[in-house]
Amino acid sequence: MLDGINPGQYIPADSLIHRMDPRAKLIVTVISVLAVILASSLSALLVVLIWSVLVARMSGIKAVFYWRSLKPLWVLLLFSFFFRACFTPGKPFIDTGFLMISYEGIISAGWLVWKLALLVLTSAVVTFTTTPLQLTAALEQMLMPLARIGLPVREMSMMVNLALRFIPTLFQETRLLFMAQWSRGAAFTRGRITDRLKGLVPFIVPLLTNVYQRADELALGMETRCYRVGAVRSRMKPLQFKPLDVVAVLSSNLVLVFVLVQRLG
Amino acid sequence: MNSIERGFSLEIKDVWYRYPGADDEVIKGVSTTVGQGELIALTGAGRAGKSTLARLMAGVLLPFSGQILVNGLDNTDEENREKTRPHVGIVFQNPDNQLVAARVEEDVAFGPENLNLPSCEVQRRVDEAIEEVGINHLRERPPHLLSGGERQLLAITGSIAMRPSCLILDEPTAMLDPLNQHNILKVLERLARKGTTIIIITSAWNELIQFDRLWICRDGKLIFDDTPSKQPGNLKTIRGLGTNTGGTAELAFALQEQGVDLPPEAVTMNEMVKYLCRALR
Repeated sequence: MLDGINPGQYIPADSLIHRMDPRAKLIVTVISVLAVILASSLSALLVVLIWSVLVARMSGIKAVFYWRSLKPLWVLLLFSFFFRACFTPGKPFIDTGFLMISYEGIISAGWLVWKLALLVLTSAVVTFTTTPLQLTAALEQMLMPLARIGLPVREMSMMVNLALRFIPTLFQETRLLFMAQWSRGAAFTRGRITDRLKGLVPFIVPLLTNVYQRADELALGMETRCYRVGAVRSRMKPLQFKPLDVVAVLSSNLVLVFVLVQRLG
Repeated sequence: MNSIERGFSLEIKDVWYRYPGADDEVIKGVSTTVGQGELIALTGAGRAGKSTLARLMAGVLLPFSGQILVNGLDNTDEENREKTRPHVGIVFQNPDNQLVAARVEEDVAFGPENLNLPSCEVQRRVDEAIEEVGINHLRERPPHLLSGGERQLLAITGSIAMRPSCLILDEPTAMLDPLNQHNILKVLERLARKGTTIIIITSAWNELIQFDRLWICRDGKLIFDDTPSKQPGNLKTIRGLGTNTGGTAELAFALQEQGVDLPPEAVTMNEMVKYLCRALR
């Protein structure tokens, strides 16, 4: 199953978090992200960590999936750690003359990486437990007041939904195309830079052609299934705030209040 | 459903079509009528105009000459097309590009939701369509993790959930294994018995021979429009038109040429087995 799942993709399960209203999930995520960013003491960051891990555990998604969502970001995390460690002044830990890493720098860099990892974990819970259609339905309802000033909210949410739906398909297609061209001797990873760039042409051209063809057929398919731009659509499962959602939003607010008290106190 | 109660009709009147920028017409003066609950197979060689004709009937393409009337309403009129679209569903050859949601159940609901039906009605249609096609076990799965055949079944389920009066399917069994091919043909037969008109593009002889009516396209013209198997003369005509008849039918024709008195329906595998068993006893 792991091979078929891309980072950040919906994973079906029957958990409390899966059953939550997507709007509540979005609100909890925004509050949790704020709490992570504003946490300035060890106790505050520990509370945010416990909260995030608790929510991740309640999602019923295996820890390995969360680990996989962090994996593509390891370069960014390493880069952030290195720069913060090098450019924070303080008591020297390593001093080679042209490079000085301070004790304060290491602590600050560790702090930063911890926060970044928590941000990824918090957002992964939403994408793992919410289908793109639920997510865009939530966005659509939350942004609906903007429709009064002429913003095409329904169309924008459908576009987001389709983009999210086709990300895994395009990933698969890219992988297949890469393997097909590679097996026919395309040089993507060897030779001079000009040869490598030339090797990319027979890869990019069919990829773009496929994307355009897919978009064209998709538009036809949607039309035949009676989708009309601007038309009102009903929902099989209308969004409904339940007691569970209220508890989740209140709990995340408590975490944020604790973080703010710690910061101001 | 209302149109089925009222009776469904599709009239194609001298329809011509040419793709933008092309010199030649793909469809040349096709005329025919389709009634409620008919099971029609549409076949022909490559580039004969089968898919184009299917798209014209579904209102996806507009003829540059001629008329297509759905329940008496001219499909070439933009306003009429909005009324007729829910009555004529189409499933394209590549199911991948018709699936819009990230979960099977949500995808099946997409069409009924577009019809702005009440939530309970959408849920009922989704449940019934999923049950009808037998894909309950795939309900929670994301479409991109399904096999090609399963995706095709999902595309068909999505169309069935809209309860069209007429369902057009472009080579729906091409990507399916024999068991799923059989299952989907049974589903289509059941739908036809309930009053839905089914038009299926196929080149599999075993499939088309079972249908009530057969259309054969050649060079953009409908050159055959009759029952496929009930009249022995038709079988010879169909074969003479160069359709892919398959091994069983070829064996039947070879035996007939050798003077063996085969019943006309013995061109399908089941009937051939029955006949040979009787003969060998």
